[in-house]
Amino acid sequence: MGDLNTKQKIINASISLFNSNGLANVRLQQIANEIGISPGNLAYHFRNKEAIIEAINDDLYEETAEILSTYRIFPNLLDFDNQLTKYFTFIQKYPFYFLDLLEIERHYPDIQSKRKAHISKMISQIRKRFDFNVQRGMIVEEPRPGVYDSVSNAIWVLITFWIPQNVVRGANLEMGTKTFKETVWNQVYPYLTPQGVAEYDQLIRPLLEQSSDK
Amino acid sequence: MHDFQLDAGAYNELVNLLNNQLFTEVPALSEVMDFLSDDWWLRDTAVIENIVPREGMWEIHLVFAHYLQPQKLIKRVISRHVSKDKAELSAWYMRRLAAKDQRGTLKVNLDDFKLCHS
Repeated sequence: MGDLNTKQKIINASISLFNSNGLANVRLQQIANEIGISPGNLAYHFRNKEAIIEAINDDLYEETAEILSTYRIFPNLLDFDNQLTKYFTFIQKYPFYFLDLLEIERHYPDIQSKRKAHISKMISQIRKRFDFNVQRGMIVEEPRPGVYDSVSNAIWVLITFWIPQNVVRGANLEMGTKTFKETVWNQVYPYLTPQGVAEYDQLIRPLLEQSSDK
Repeated sequence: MHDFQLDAGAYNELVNLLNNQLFTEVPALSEVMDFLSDDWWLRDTAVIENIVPREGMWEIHLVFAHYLQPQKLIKRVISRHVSKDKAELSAWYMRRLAAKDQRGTLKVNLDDFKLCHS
């Protein structure tokens, strides 16, 4: 139990250091200092930084799988909104992962390949949401083949690069749930049928108005 | 466990199936199960007793089948007895009590089931 706690402490400290300093700028010594253990003790639990990143990645993997499993809980637009909230919490918890995406891609190819499976699932879920809602009469038929594929890709880009684009454009930018969800919903909104707009007004708009931008 | 990955096509198909559930798996109308609460039809049933061993005891089941539409039937567990003879005797009385015609003139006609013997 003691081991598990130290391991978890190391992982938690690493996540917070990676988030504040960036993946490349954190040394094992810093992580050890953060939780007050010796570098030797840290090395006993994780032989190097890659091992820590791998452990964090396992958590990330589980969490993404959990988010992906929330597909079709509600048979209406709320389902996507619910999943968006989860995505937002996730990207806020691990900003370094999205900021250092290219770094991870370059230095830890195994981790990246694991992630790719989830990327394709994520995009295909977004795409299938369009099909589902077209069938429900909430979204118009695809204006021409491939439009919904691109919109799905664009939504994935938005979610994945939300944190990096905010950082690039300046830290004082509003980064809250509200802006995030509104931006994503605005990609879908033009394709809603009048019935879809009614459902959006009834279910989604009140939620967006309630959510904060902190 | 993590090494197993569904291929994109199979995953898409699964998500499609999930989507289709809403359109294909429609709950039945509540009237369909009305026969469970509407027991007036039980007046016109032939009653068959059935004794089955369960958990070391003999359980009496009464099967009520409408004498004109034998497909319309319902099974009820009535009671349990330690002795088989006692269970048979109780079942016989229960059937006599439950059946509309105590002399047993209402009979289910086997042909009404429209069974195919081939």
